[in-house]
Amino acid sequence: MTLDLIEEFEMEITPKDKAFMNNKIYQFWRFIVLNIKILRAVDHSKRS
Amino acid sequence: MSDKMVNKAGFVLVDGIYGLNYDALERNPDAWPASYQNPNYLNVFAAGIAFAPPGPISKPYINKNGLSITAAPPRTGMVSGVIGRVVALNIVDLIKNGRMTHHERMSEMVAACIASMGDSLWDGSAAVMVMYPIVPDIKHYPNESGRDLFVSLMEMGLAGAWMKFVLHHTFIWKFKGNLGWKIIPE
Repeated sequence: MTLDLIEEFEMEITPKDKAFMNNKIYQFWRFIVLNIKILRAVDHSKRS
Repeated sequence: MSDKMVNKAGFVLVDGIYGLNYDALERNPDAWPASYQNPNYLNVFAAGIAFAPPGPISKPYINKNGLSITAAPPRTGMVSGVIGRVVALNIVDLIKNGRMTHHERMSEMVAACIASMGDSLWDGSAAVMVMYPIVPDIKHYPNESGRDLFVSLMEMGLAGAWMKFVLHHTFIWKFKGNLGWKIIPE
């Protein structure tokens, strides 16, 4: 099989995205949410 | 002896099912090793990059120049930490009770990865990725990716740089065995 049929996938970071990526208040919120999500994922994982 | 211990590439054979083609491996998440113990030499375990994976985690391709493009499973970072814990606890089990009680396949394991794109705590950035399970399991998650889409995510931003900073310090705290080290994830 070759790569001919692979779909092109583009992801663009818009100026709005960039602003959010460095917005301290929003990023503080994401910091809390991401930490909780990772800890929940670890808990969800088997860990036996 | 070496045929029973390692594969041709030098990775240690463990309790996985080897020799399956990709289609069979994709349908059988239980082919991935659970206890990371060599079936021929029971005192040999292999954690992290040392063990031989049963195969790729996505469909292998060959490009028009004949180059094989095969995604090997990630076995460093959090994955090696989790496998190391399973192996260490099993060795303790074997010494104390004579049988192993811990097992975790990569098809039932979660992994988080933080790729730094600037470590400043003011204007740095990092990509945070969480993948569950690491090896796609189309039996339990019958979607295109074979993963739990409520758990798996990717996000970029300053929060990632903060998380990378916290991760470094909590890791060193854990490695030193300081108070609460057990509750810090690998």
